[in-house]
Amino acid sequence: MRILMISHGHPRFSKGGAEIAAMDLAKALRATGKHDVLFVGRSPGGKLQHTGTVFSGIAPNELLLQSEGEWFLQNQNSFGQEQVDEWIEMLKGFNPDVVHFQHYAHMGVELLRVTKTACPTAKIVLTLHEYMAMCANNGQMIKTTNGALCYKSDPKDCHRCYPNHSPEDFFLRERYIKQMFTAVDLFISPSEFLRQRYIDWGLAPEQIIYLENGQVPAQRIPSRALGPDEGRTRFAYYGQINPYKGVDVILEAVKLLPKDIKKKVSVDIYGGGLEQQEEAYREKVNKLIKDSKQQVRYHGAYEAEDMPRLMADVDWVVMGSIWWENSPLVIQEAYKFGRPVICPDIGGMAEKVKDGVTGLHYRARDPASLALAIEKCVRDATLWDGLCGNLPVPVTVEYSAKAHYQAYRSDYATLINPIGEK
Amino acid sequence: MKQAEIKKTIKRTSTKESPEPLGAVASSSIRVNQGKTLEHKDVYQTLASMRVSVKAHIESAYRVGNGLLICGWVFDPDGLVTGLGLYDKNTKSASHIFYDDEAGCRFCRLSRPDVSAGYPGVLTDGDDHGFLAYLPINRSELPQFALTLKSGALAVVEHPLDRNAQEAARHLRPGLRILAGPLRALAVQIAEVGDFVNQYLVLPPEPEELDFEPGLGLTRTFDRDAHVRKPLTEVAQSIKINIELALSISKGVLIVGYVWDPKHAIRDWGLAEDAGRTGYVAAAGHKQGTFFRRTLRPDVVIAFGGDRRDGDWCGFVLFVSGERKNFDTLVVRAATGETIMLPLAVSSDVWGSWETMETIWAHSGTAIRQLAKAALPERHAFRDWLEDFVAVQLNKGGAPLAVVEKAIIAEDAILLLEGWMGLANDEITSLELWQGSEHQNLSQSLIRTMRPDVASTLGLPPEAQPGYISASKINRDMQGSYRLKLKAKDGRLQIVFLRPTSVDLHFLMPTLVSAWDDAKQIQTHIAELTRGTDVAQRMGQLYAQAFAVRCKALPAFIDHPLLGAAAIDRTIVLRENGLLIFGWSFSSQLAPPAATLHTPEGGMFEITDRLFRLPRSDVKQSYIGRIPQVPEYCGFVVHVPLPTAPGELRMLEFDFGEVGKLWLKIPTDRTNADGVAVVKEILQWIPSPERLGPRLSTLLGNCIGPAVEGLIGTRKISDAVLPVERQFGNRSKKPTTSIIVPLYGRCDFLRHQVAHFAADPGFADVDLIYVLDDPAIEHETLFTAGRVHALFGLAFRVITYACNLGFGPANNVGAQFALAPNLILLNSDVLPTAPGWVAGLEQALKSLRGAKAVAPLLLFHDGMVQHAGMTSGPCVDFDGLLANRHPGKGLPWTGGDTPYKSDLLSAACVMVRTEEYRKIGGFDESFIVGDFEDSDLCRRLVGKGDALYMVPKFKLWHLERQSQAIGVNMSQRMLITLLNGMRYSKRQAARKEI
Repeated sequence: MRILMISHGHPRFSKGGAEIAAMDLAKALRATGKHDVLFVGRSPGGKLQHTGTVFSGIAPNELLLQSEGEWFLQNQNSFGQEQVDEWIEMLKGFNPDVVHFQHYAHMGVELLRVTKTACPTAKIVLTLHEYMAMCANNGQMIKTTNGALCYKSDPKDCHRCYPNHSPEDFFLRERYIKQMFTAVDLFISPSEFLRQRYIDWGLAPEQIIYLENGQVPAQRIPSRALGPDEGRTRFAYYGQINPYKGVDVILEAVKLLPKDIKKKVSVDIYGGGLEQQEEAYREKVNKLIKDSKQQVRYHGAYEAEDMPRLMADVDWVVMGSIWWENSPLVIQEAYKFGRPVICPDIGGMAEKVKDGVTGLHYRARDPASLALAIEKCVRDATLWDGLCGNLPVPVTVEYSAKAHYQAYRSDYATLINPIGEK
Repeated sequence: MKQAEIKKTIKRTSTKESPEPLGAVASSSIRVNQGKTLEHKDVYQTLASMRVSVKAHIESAYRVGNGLLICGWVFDPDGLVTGLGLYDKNTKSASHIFYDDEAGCRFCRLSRPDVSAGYPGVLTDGDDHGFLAYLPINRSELPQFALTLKSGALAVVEHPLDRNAQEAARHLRPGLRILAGPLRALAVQIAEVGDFVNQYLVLPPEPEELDFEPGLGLTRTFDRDAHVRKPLTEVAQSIKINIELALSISKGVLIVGYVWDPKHAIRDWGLAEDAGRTGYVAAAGHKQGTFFRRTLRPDVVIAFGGDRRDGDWCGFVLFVSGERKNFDTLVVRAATGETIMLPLAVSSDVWGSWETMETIWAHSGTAIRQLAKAALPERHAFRDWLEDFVAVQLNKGGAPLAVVEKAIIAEDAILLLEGWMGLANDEITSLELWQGSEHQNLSQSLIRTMRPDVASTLGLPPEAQPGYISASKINRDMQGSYRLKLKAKDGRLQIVFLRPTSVDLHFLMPTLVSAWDDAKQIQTHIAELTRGTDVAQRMGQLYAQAFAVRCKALPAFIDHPLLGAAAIDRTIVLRENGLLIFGWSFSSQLAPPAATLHTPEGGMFEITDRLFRLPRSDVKQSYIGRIPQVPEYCGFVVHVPLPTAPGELRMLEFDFGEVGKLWLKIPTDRTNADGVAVVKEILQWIPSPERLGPRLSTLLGNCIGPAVEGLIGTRKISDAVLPVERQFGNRSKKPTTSIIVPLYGRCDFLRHQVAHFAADPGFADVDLIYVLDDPAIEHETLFTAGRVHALFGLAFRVITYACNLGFGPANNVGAQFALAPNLILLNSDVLPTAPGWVAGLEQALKSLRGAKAVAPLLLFHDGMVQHAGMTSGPCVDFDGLLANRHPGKGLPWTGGDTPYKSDLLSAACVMVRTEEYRKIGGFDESFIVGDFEDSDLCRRLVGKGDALYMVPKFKLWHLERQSQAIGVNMSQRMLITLLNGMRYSKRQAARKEI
C-alpha cells in the first residue's frame, strides 16, 4: 500500500506528540515491508528549505513542506496556484492509496480537499489530536474569559471568548472547516473522549474511529527499592511547564498536605518551558516551589531517552492538566515503565487511567482533592502494589501500524480496541 | 431764538372781536408771566387764548446821549398796526409816532426772518417786522411804547431801560448782521450812537459801495447810463429808476423796483406797450386793475445819500392786471416835459425769479403779498407760489424738513433723489416734485430707508427710517428746474431747488448698494416707470451688478443685537435641482422673520414656510446667556428648487418687518460632482437626527429627498464605470445560471462561498461573477481570489472598477457580464446549506406559474428564519414610510417545502431571468448604497398575472448585517436607509394612484 503520511511538523525539528506519533507510525508501517510510506512534514522554515519550491527532500522518503496557515480559520495562507500545482504533482507522482493527515495546522484544512480532488480514489484519513476544529482557543476547550472548562462549541459562546470575532465569524469558521472535512474519509481519534466530542460537534460516528497511538515497546522498570520504614512517597511530574498542564495545581496540593505527610513526601518536577511563560505564571510557580522547598525539586527539561532513568527513582506519576487532554503520552509511558498515575478526573485522562485500578483520580483543578489523593497514597501502604499489578501494556507501534492498515482498508469489523489489553 | 424768551409785559388792548370797550386799555393791562422765561409754546398759547394777534417786543432800549436807541420788532400778521410811538399816560394816547427824520427821530424797518420763524402757522405776512429807532427824548421815567391799531385802540408795551452800554450791546449783538446797515447809518448821523457802536459793537465789514448785502440793499450795480435816455436835463438826470422784478403772471404783470426822485422831477410814470407808443398805464393812477404800493427803501436812500424825507418811500410794487398786456417799456414823464423810456424785460418764469424775490423781499415782500391778496383770486397760482415762498423764508435758519443729498437724472428719464428727512411718512401732507408747472406726487412711491448715521444724530430709535429714496419719471421735453415741495402735517413747508446732474444709469449703483434693503423695490419701481424701454432692461443688469458687489461684502454669519442672529453653515449646490441650505437663525423679535432667497436677476423666493427646523443645542447653548428665548429648534435646512450653478450669487434675506432686515451670503462655490458623496454629506449635516423622531422621515421625504432626487434620480452610474474582468479558471461553455455577487468591505466571503460552491457539482454549469464594489480592497480581493481558485479550482470571474457604486449599480455592472439565461443576485454573506440549490431554483422559475423571480429560504447562522418573503406596510416610527415586513423572521422554519407566492423578495438571494432583468434596466440606481432597491425591483418585475415565489425547499444561510437600531444611534447608514425608504414609499404611493 502507498501511504502518504502528512504531519504538521518533522520530529527532527519539532518534538510534539503528534509529530512523534506520525513518524513512529510511518516507520512502523515501513517496517512491515509491505507499504511504501512517504513522510511529509511541515518545515520549520528558514535555511532548511530549498528556495522556490514547496518541497525539500531530506531523506529518500521524507519531505519537508513549506507552508503557512492562518490560525483563526485554520486556512492555507501561503499557497498560490504554483504551490498548489506542486502539491498536486507530488500527489500524482507518489500516487497514494492513502493520505493520512496527522494534522492540518499551518498547512490549512483546504489541503484535505485539494488532495481529495487530485486523488479522488485515495483514502483521506485525518487524525485529531485536540479540539482545534471546534475551538479557536488552541483547541483546548477552555474559556478565555475565566479559564473554565468548555463543554460545547457554539458560535454565540465562542464570540464571548473572542469578542472581536462575531458569532457569524465563528459560524463561518465552523462551516469552512466542516466543508473541508467533507473531503476526509476517515477520522481517527486517540481517545474515545475526543471522538465523542467530534461526534457531538457534527462528525458522523461511523466516520470516526478510536485508535490509540502506538508506543515503542520497552521493559518495565523495577520498583524503587525501599529503605527501612519507607513508603511509596516519591511523586513526579513529567511534561511541559505551562498553565494548561497545571503544574501549579500539584505545587498547591503539596502545600496543603498534613505535616506528617509533608515530612515523608518528595515531588520532582521534570520539564522545560517555564522560562517561556508569562511573568505572572513564572513567579507563581517559582514561589510555590520555594514555599515547599523541603518537598519539591525542580529539574528542568529532559530528553525522551532519559525517561527510564528518571522514572526509576519515582513511585507515582502525577498530572495536573486543567484541560481535557486527549491521550497523554505521559500516561502511556507511565504504564510502559510500570508506574501508576494520579490524574484529574476529566477527558482523555479519566478515560486512560481507571480510578483505583491503574491510578487515582482527583477533582480536576482542585489542589485539595489532589492533596487528599497524595495523602491516601502515603498512608495506604498496600495501594501502590495493587495498582501496579493492574497496569496495562500500552499499544505498541507495531500493533498500531497493523491497526491503521486495517483502518486504511476499511476493515473495521476486526479492529480491536487495544486499550485494556495486557 | 430770542423772541422765544419774552420777558416783557404785553398790555393787551381790545381787538375787533373783543367784548371789552376801547379805552379800558391801560387800566385793564395784563401782565403775563413777568420776569419768567417762557418757552415759545407757552407764550404763544397764552397769547392766542387772549386773541391777541399782535405781538411786540423791545429787545433793547438804551439811553444814548440825549435820546433813546430802541431795537425791537412788531409782529402783525393781520396788518392791524398803523403806527408805533410813545405812550402818553396823561392823554392815554400815543405821542411821538415814530417817523424817520421827523423831529430828530430816526426810524428804520428791518427784515426779521428769525421772528417769522418763531410763529409757524400763524404768520401770513412778510418779515419786515423789525425796527431800529432813535428818539431824541430825554426823560428819566420808564418809557412805554404804544402801538396804534387800525381800530383806533392802543397796545402798550413796557420795557425797562438797559442799565448800561454792555447790557445794551448784549441785547443787540444777536441781530447784528441785520442791524449793521442801519446802525452804521445812525452812527454817522448821531455822534453818541457812533461812540456806542464803535466802543461796544463790532459791525460786520461795510459792503462796497452800492453793493449791499442781500436783503438789505441793492444787488446790482446801478448804472444810470443804461437806464436813462440822453440827453436829459439836469433835473431829469437826477431821476434814478431801477426795476428789480418784472414778472408776467396769470392775469397781469408785477413790477417791483424803486424810483429815486430827490428833486421831485417826476410828474408821473407808468408802463406802456409797443416800445412806449401805446397802452400807457400810470403806476399811481388809481385806475381800475392797477395796484400800486409805495415801499420804504432806506437802502436806496443810503445808497444815494439823499435826503431821507424825500426818499424813504421811493420803493414801489406795481401790479397791472390784464390777460394780454404786453408791457415792454417803462415810461417816466418828468415835470420838465421830458419823457424817459426804459425797456422792460418781463419774464414769465415765476420760479426763475425765486432768487430775485429773496433779494427784494425784505423791503417789498409785505407789499407784494398785500397786493397779490388784493389783486388776485383766492386760488391763484402766484398766490400759492408766494405762500410757498414765504413758508420757505420762514423756515430759513430752522431745522430743515428734508435734506437732499443726491439728485441725479439717469438716462434723461429717471430722477433719483436720496437724502433724509425728520418726518415720518404719516407726518407728510404732501411731497411733490415740480417740473415747470407740472408736478407729481412722490409721497406714494417714497422709499424710506434706515439711516443709522442720521438716526443717531437726531436721536431717533434705531428702527427709524429717516432716509428716503425716490425715483420718478421725468418728462425729458420739459425744460427748467426741479423743485421738491414738502409739506408737513404741522404746517411746515420746505421747497428744495434741485439741480440734478444728468448721468448714466450706472450712477444709480451706489444707491442700490448702500440701500440694499430696498434695492429690489427701487429696481422694480424704476423698471415699472420705464417699462418697454431699454432702461428697464438695463436696470435689471444694474441690479445684478449691485447684487454682485453687495454679495461680496456679505457674511455667512450675522449677529445683530436687535434683530437676532443667523448663519449659513453649508450650502449644497445641486445645479438644476437648486440649493440645499443648512444653517440656523433666530429672532430676538416677537415675530419670526420672513426668509427670502434672492438672485442677481431679481428673482425672489420666499422660503419661510419651507424652512425645516432642526434642533441646534450648540447654538442655543452659546446664546442662551445673552438671549434666553433662543429656541432649541433654531437650526434649519431648506431646499430651494431654484437652479443654481456653482459660483452663482445668491443671498438670503431675513425680513423682520419694520424693524429691519438681515442679509446673508449663500456660499455657492463648493460642490461635489459625485451624487452619492453629496447625499452622504447632506446627511452628515443633519444635526441630532434621532431627536427629530417621526418627523425625520418628513425631512428626508419632503425636503432632502426631492433635493437629491434630480441629482441621483435618473442616474445610471453603472454605465459610467470601466469594469475590468478577470477570469479565474475556465469558464463554463454553456452555463444555465449566472450568479452575481457584489463584494464590499471584506472579501473573505469569497473564500467561504467558493469553498462551498466548489463542493457542489451543480456549479459546473454556473457562471459565477464577483463584482468588487470597493477599490480599496482590490488587491486583497484579487489575491484572495487567486489563492481560493488555486485551492478549490472553481472557475469564477472578478469584475473590478475604480469606485464604489453601491449594491444596485454593482449588480447592474455584473449583469452586463452575465452569460446565462438565468440570473441569481446573491449577497456575499450567503452560504448554501446543501448543494443542488441552483438547479432547484432554475426548475422552480421555469415551472411555477407566472414566476418572475424565485428565492430560497434564508436562515440565520443559528438556523432561524432570516428571510421567508416580504410584504410592505406603513411604519409606525416614521411618518409616510413604507417599511418592509419580514414574516417569520427570527423564528424556526415550520413551513415545509412547498413554494408559495410572496409580495416581495429579498435580493440577498433571488433568481430572475437575465433578459427580463436587463429589460427593466436592472436595479434603479438612485437608491443609495443599497436599501429598498430590491423591493423596487420586485415591483417593477411583476406585471399583471405575474408572481414572485419563495421556494423554501432550498435553504441558504444569510449572515445579514447587524440590524440597525432605529432612534438610538442614528448612523448615517440608517439615514440612507430611511432616505431610500421614503423614496420607495413615495414611488409606491404614486404607483397606487395610477
